[in-house]
Amino acid sequence: MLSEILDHRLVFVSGKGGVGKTTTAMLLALFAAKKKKRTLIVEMNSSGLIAPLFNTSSNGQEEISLAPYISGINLSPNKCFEEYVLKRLHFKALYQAFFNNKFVSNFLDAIPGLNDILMLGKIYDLERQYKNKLMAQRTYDLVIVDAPATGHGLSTLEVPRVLRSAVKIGPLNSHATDILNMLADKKKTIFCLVTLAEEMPVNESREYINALKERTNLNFGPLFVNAVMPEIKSLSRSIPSTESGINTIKNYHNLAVERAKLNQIYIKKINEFFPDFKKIVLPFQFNEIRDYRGLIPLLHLLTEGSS
Amino acid sequence: MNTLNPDHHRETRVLLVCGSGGVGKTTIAAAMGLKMSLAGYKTIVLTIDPAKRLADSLGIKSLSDEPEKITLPENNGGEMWAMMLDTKRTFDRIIEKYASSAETRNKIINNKLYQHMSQMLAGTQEYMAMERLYEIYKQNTFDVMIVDTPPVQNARDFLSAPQRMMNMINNSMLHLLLKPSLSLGKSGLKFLERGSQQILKAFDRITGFAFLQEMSEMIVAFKDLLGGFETRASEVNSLLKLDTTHFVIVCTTNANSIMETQDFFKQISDQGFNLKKIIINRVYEGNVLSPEKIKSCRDELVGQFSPAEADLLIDNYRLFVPMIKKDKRQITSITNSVGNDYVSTIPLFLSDVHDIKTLKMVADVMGWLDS
Repeated sequence: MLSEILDHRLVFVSGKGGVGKTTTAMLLALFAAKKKKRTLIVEMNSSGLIAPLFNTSSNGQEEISLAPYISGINLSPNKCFEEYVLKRLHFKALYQAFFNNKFVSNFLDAIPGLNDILMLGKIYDLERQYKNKLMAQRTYDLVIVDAPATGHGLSTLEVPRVLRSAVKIGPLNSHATDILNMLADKKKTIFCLVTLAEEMPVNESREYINALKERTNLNFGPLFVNAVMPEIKSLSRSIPSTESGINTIKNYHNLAVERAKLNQIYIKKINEFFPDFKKIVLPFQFNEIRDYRGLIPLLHLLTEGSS
Repeated sequence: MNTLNPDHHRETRVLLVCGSGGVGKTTIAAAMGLKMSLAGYKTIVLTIDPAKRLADSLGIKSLSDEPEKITLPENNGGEMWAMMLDTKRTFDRIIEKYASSAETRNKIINNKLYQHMSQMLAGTQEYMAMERLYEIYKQNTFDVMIVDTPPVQNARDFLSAPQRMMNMINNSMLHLLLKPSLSLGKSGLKFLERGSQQILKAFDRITGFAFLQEMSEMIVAFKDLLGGFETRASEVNSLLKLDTTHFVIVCTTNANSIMETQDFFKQISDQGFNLKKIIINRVYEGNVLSPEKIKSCRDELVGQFSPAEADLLIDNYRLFVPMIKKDKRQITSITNSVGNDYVSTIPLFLSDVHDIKTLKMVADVMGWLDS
């Protein structure tokens, strides 16, 4: 199923806050790198989580090499704006005179959806970027976007459509059209949602998918169900509470049993709610993931399951 | 109303629950609301769109943007209410209230940009949350108001929302666009001074004149709301700084969440807001047992279970040890930087928290909220 995702050039990974979007984006990148695909992981104005996972620090909005075949970039709306403007005005001095002005930036702050459309525009450019134009060789085989969390306000993915219907002509309109075409290109682009097998994330994924299906024509890939507790045998009898050591051991047994049960209940619901989605279940990780190496066991698990 | 926390020598009327996405803000806001209601206060919990989350955590189907009374499991004279905040409707309401004429109102409501995008104006959600909070605060019908704030990448986005709204109004090229000449269309541009003409020309190349016109039309229509807005924004801002307004930061032990929390804490204290508590949620509690202790536990378990079952129990516990260790380390790191008094933890529960009954479990571990 992972290979199916990798048949595309642009992958958006989204989901409710805290469900493991970044982990999933990283896994996809590691998997792609293993297949020798030149991969770029894009963060959209985040606090820069990816680079530290490769033990480097990101350097503003610049593509940096993170590992063999893996590069990363953390988009900044201001930088995207500067690039967009320079492309159209051609004069750096003009840009600086006007747009570094508080008077202007206070106003820009208020333009609805501007940040989203600019960052999506940058993703559009990155996907099409050439390493060697004569040889028609693209810089990246795969662009993975660690997209903003779902659930609040209008989704980033809907901004181009809304913007285009609000602004009928002009450069902003054609920019939005280009981005819409990119998002709707099913051969090129795929959307993967990550969820936990718990009440709120499942409900939110359901609402999000229904809303997007209703209003857009996006190509949905497999649904990632993250941090599923492995099932553990229940005991032949209950443990009497004695002293603190035994209690701790008992509590963690209960936790494992109950959490696993809970996850199974919601996996059932997920299958009910999303019958036409393939699901990729990622088991709960008992070790703290400090860097990309912490993901290698998961990667092995997925590779075995998909090759 | 009684003083909630005598240590702080002041009462809490507004509790703002902040934190990044997915840490459990909504659940904790709801649990605090439940706790205060059960303590006898008339309490309201406000949440931002999507209301589904709060409705989920209260075990009810849906919420509207009018306060709705929640049935409590026991009655101590308190009441619990909940409502969602619909950004667009709050915006509409403000326009209704401040537009000088029906004509202005219609002009705004019918503006294409406004229709599609009023809820997307940067900072609107954050600002509107506070706007509505202020409105309810003024009505003085609740003892305590708890606000589940929108998740923000940066604390600044939330704390500075009223300020940014004021900047946009007072200190931006809005005024340039507000010149009536612009509503005459492109030809109106020549009436502007040279500098501003340049700016507008640059904008034309970037966004297109149609967009600019739509934007300026919206703004012109907003013009007669601006006075009202400005006063409100500064009133809302001062509400945040009252002695009776307290902040609660919710986080988890993920490295990223801890980092953001420290940043949040710094900004709250730098700007003179009152911090009540940092709540570390979903903690793997318990002791890290020494190898000797584990061995003696196993011996004891073997007395009651088969050796295979005893090993199952021990191995399962061992699996969780890295999580327990990590959480202890993270809690210590946050306690060291903000002080013991400000930190409180909530364990990871066996079950999902999404109805009044399970919410009560969360409420019960928040002893610090008791007076």
